Amino acid sequence: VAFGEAVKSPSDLRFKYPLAPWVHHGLVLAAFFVSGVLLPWWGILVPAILAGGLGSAAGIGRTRAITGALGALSWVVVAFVQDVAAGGRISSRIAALMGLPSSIFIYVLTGALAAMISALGAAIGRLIFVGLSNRAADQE
Amino acid sequence: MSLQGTEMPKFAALRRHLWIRIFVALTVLVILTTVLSHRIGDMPELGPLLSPYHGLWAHAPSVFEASGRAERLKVAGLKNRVELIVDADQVKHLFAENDDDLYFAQGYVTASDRLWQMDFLTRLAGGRLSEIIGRRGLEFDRFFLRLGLSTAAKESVQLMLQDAVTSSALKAYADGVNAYIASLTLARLPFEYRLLGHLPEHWTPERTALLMKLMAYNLSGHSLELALERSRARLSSQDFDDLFPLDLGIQDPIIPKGMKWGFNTKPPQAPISEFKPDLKRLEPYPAPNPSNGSNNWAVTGKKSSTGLPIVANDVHLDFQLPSLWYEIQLVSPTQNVYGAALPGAPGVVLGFNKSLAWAVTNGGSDVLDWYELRYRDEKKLEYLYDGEFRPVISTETPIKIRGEKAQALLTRRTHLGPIIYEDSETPLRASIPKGLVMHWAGLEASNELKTFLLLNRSTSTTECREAILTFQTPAQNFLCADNRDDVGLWHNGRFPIRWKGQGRLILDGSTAATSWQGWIPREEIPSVRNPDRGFVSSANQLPADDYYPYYLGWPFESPYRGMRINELLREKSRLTPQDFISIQNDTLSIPARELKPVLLDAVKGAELGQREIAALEALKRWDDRFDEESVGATIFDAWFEKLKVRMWGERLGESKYYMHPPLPRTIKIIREEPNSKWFDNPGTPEVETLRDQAVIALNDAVADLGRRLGRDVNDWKWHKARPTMFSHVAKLPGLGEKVTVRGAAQSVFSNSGGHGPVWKLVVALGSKPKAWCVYPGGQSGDPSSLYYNNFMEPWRKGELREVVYLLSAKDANPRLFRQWHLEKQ
Repeated sequence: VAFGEAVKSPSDLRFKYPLAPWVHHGLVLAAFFVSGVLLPWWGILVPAILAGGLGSAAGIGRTRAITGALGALSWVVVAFVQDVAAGGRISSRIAALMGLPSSIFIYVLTGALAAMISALGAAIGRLIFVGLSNRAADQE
Repeated sequence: MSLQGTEMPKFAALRRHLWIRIFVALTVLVILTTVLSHRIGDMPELGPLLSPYHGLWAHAPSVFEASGRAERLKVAGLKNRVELIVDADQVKHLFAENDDDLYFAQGYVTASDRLWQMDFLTRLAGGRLSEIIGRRGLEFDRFFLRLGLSTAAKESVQLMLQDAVTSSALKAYADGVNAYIASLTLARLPFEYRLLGHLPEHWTPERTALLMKLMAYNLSGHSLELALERSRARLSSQDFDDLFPLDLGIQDPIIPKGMKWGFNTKPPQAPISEFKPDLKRLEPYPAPNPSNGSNNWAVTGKKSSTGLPIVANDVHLDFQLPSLWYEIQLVSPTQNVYGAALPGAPGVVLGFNKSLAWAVTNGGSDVLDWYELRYRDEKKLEYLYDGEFRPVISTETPIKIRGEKAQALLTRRTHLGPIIYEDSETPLRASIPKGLVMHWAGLEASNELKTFLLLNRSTSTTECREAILTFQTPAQNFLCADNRDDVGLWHNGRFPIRWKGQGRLILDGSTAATSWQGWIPREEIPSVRNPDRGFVSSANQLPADDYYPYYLGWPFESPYRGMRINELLREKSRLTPQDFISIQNDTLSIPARELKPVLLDAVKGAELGQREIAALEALKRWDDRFDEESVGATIFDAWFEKLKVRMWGERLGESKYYMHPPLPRTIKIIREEPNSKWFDNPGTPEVETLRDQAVIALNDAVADLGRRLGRDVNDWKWHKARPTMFSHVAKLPGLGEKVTVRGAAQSVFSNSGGHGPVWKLVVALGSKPKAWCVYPGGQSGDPSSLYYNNFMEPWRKGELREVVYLLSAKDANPRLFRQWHLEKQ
């Protein structure tokens, strides 16, 4: 469906997609990086909500999963780059600080947090899109 | 697409409740992000902390850590250009055209490495920790506010700002720190700011004064009175005098024995008094570990391989990360000084310049007494003093607490000093008595910074002597040597005149007879210059022998480190800088050397188990050195500790709560009085001797070591038995370090596990000085930086690196890393 068309069934949520999926996901990932630099930590929600609402070829579950994975990737990659620049000392210090047995857990925790917030953002984006779309359709 | 089965009604329901679902989802999201943005109990705010863009992951090294060619950096506040040369260890070498720019640049570069540490320590000293860490800081705040470091710092900074030497230095340094703070972005905030979620605070000269007062408290704020008073309560007067004699006999004082004092002073006599403090205040609670001091020594030209003085200093304080010290070289038309600076204060505290080296150990003289008051009534609003009642001055100070309403703290003072704790309160530090008044010389307005700034530019030992004259608290043993072969050592500070033994126990606060009776004149304080023996040294021991007329304190540090240093200095007719480094790394324990044969002899022929016999064999092979892999060191230490428990612990109580006799007295009893009554256990009908107690203590020690370190005696390495820990300055977990390193409290390489040498320096004076140094830690305060702890490994091994001492900014040296031109904006 396009915006303004009524969503009548779950299948309607599987949009016909204007962009190739890898282009779309690439753009979403880029948006995650930009929001990370420009916004506070919760800025990760902005691209997540947009990604959820403005299009994904998948259904709501898959959209959530993909957006969550992209959000996690955007945090873990940046964390990894910084950690490498510091010789791996950042992850080991944070892990010790939080009482975790290994540095890998701090990556897992960081990725999980980003994934959870982005997936929730994507779901909300999708629900808002559906709601607004239906309201527009009803008004017509 | 068609809908099948039950999908249609379900989806209809979904559509009907869509806005409810959006509302619920949004609510969940808001709650989740709010929870993740806030600290809940001990759980930190995970959202901002784990964000790799702003949180703990963000790697924000000092701008000066980057490598590359010379660069310009515009800094607002400079008058002229300052050359900053960074060497391979991130030591900064500053070359300025005037002193204001020099101290400005020092403030700027120190803040770039250690801003959070400076900020945190001054908040701690000022009683403002709760502002950043919440309720967990309350006990510290209550203690420091009542102690009154903040008030003392306010009064001291007035003196400092009126003094030509310190005034401009303090202001320029603060401007430099503030210029750095102004250049910071949120993403470049030091690690701990991001972790604790607070921001840097404007730096002021008063904060420098607070740091100086905190150092004074750390070095001269210890009290033995309470633990000693508890022990006195358990002994007869005769036994107390036997175990805790004012004259401990075995001593090798700082000023060589037999010194002829050039003055004829009669010290005051103790008043006749039956005063004993209220025993209710003496109820036991854990006491802190004792400190174990510092070492300094120097040889004159006649005992030096270079023909000119060589100086050594190793300063022993609590092990912490980031390191307490910050290595730096400061060059201007008035000085070219190198050494250890205190992050937060201008100038160099321990170091050398082109002509002079100075080295400092804690004096240890007692400048803190406790007084018990006699109140008019239960309200405790007035106290008796020399026949008249005086009012207690009470004030309420607000304590800001992060995330909570501020609390009002009642502080009470008398003319003698503050009452730190009321009877109903639990002290932060166990050695602080409740309900008593503290009289501490460190609370007076003073300007110790002036001494260090003058030392930085002094060119001779005579000028050094002038520089230290105004130094008050904490009393230090100042050693100075110049490149004209003039060497001196001064036990230096402001010492109250007291009768012999005054203040080692709690005093009666109702009479002026127990008050301090003026100050010892500076010219009558113990000192030595160019002695015949060709060397001077100090290791916190007794400053002078019994013929010195004034009472300075009791019991000082055990004499054994000092004795060992003097023994090694006497061994060679001429010493090299490498010999000095070897002495600093010496781990031989004189108590062990003296006691081991006595203890082995005491258990000869006793019936022992196989493991005890194996332990004794390891002990026989031991060379009396506390090296990290040593097994004998572990066995000796455990055995002696158990023996002390049997001698004193069962009679007086645990050493955590009760003072046990000083080490020289205990050693004398073991060596010379094997049938002493102090070996007898009063709870048994038999009369025990050294032999009986030594056998039991050995069995106890071996059993204990077996439980802790395993069955195999060969695995009982010293570093396992007594691990060495470096804590983060705010005790944050994961930011400290466990290190395998040698040393024991009584060896020259002094190490009690959490306290030891935190700065080591050896300087060979000459036309151009050569120096070697190391300290545990690194230049950076950032835990993710390579330079946070890169000196730890050489320090652990006892390796000192040669200092890059530059005469000009154009000097070439292969260890130089990068040059910066700091220019005015």
